[in-house]
Amino acid sequence: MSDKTLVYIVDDEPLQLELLKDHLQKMSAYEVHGFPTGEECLAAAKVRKPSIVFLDYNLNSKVREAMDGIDVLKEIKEVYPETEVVMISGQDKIDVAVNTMKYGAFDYIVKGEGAFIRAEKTLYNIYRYNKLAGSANTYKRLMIFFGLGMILMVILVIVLQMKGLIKSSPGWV
Amino acid sequence: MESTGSLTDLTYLRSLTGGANDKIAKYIRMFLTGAPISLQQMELNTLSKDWEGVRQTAHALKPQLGFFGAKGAEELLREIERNASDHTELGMMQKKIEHFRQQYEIIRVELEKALQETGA
Repeated sequence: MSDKTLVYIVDDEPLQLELLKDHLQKMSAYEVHGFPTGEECLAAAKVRKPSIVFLDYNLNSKVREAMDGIDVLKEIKEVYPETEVVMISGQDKIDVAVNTMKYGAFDYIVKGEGAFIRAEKTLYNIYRYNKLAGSANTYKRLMIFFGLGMILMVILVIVLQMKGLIKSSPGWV
Repeated sequence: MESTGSLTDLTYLRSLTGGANDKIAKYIRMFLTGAPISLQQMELNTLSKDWEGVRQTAHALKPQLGFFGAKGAEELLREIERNASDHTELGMMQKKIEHFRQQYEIIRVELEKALQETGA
């Protein structure tokens, strides 16, 4: 098993999929796999859960019955809430972007020439976000530990006082 | 544009691939395989007045043309997508798709030439 971050790309346009896959594969920290449908991505996720998914918004341009991007996004966030999903679309409409964010997408990228650089930056942003979230969790745990320590100290003082081992006067002697 | 009158420009693709001819050739082949199918799909959808089908196909094909610097054809597809989505100028749809096919034929010839030049 590789220690690289597992990235899945889902796009029903083979050229778009290949271009993004080749581009992200240049970055050595990522193991990248591509899928033409959301169904195939979800099946693969059951075997190996991805850390990041680049997901096309319109996944039913070739097969009408195929799951569309929003459905796949909803399912990924429901089953694997810690997986970050980046939506990709040819539409630069704000309501489309807002809609994807509402369902938990990390970012929204508009297809086109700038999309590959944006995808690269988004990977870096996810890395930074996870690092910050990790630090925040560490501080949270430290605060809980410190708080519990203080409570234990107070309890100990009360017990010692009740047993007469320390006096309530200042100096405790 | 690389040369006057050319509908394509591979500058972006060359910069993206770092000038790797094998990759440029791979992408051109993929486009030349997929685009005629999409084009035929759009024509069939137009005949059956399946405007949602036209919109979806135009939408999916549009960014691919951008990679090959075919800005004019990309703009034409944007217009087709918008018309199919808003149900405007539907009477002109067949003509616009015909115009797109003419542009595609020129693009195909240019890309086939570029493919030969890659030697891959």
